[in-house]
Amino acid sequence: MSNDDMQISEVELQAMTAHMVEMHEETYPIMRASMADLGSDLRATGARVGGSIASRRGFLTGGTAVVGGLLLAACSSTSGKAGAASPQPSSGSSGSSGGDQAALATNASLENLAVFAYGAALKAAPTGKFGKTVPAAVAQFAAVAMKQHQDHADAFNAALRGAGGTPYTKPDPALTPAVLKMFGAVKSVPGLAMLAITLENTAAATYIQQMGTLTSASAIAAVATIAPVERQHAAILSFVLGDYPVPDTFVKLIATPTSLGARPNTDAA
Amino acid sequence: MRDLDIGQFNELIEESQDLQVDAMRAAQQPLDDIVEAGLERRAGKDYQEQTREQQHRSRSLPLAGAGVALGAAGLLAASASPAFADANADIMALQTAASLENLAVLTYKTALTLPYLQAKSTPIKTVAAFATITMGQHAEHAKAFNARTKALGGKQQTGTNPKYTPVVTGMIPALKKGGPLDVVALAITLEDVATSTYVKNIQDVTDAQVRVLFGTIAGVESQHLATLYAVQALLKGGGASLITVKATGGPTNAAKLPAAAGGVGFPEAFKKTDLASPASEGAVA
Repeated sequence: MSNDDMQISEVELQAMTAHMVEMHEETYPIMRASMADLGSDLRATGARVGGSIASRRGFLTGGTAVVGGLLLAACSSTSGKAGAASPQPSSGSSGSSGGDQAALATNASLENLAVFAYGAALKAAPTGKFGKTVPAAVAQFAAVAMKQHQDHADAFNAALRGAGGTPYTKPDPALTPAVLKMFGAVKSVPGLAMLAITLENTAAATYIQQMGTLTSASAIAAVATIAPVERQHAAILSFVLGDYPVPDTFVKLIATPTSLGARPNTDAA
Repeated sequence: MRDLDIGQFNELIEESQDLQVDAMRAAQQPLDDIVEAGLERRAGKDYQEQTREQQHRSRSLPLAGAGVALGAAGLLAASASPAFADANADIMALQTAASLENLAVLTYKTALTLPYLQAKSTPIKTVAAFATITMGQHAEHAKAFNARTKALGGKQQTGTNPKYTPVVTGMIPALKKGGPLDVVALAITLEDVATSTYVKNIQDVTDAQVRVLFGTIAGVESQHLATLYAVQALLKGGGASLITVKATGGPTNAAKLPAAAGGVGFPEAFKKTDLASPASEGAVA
């Protein structure tokens, strides 16, 4: 990348990045500490499930939703189960600590998938897979986003571990085959960015839907503080693509051309 | 905004509005659920007892300081009044959220009148377009919060946030003498306050569907924030020419973006809530 016309900005932006890293290092331990309390929280809520939380009528249109997006098409074509890649209302036992654990495992799997995708992109970039060069800002985006997704995965898994569960260390099994296929077909930076936007928006939709079903305060805190960050990733990706960065007035939970919609808790079952 | 490609801009707005209508349609069921769940909850014996106790505490504390005693009969009467519903913490949170949205609308509306945002350059056109679209989105958020407030039995909040309104109005003279960076800095503060408040509210409100409403809006405010961080960085760093989108001046030249621009938009791995406004801040009885 030529820095001819950006010498000053690079210096200043590097300073901002340093500040950003400081902020990250500051927030991450706080979140981890919060997650450590989740175990007792989940066990406590497990005993008072049933009528304590408001009704959980599905607010997705389920099978009637019009499903768009390249990734979804890939999912549909590769899935062995009918509708496995379609957005559905959360089917986990959402009124219980078991429901919370299933949701947290799904969330960890989505984060693992994002880490995998960004990692694979960074590894493939020097080979020319996405064109002669990958813009430095895109590479930096991928590196920072991948680190944050790893932190998110760690946070969700810390919650699972604290609740007596087993950390989920694999990428989302329902989506991984399609993502692998799509990743293999991507030959440009815009194509890669579209794939990344889809993963980011899908994760955010999943977490926001769970805000209506999770019972543990700590689990709610996790999705509340992580979902906005995934949406920020999507905004910057849109800008890099040349698109308007905030196209939605309300985050959609259903499938769109850039989101698979909220994933069910059974993704990582 | 005069030299904006009106055709493209309208297409962008139409697209945004279509998405917005779709989103509202998709949100209708959860919003209906909010109402039903809230009504069910308020009809419950436990809720009524709990709220009556809260009502007692909130009313008796200041009155005790003034040396006034309120009888049991008076308390019961107060609990049965229309103001009873407004005491609900969820409603208060919704009202405060509406107050922040109303202030954001006022702020962007004011910003769009500033002389330096009338410039013809693509970066300024892009910033002005962002302000216009964002203002509309905040207006829709205010409507959504107020619709839920009303449906839950509360009073709609049509005013601006009492804590931050004097701050914004006090800055207007400086904004007039300043430049785009000053507007962006102010907008960052307001968007961060809103995002932080909603992220905190998701954790505090009792109604599950109200949590989802806050979630669907926090995810948009956080994107406003990310965009503003990026714009601020490019303005400060001399990369203003890169502030452009397809609808205003063509897509940005990604190859010319400095590396650090790739990560400057999302400085927190977990959204902090230090700036969150308390639920009572913009509540109305």
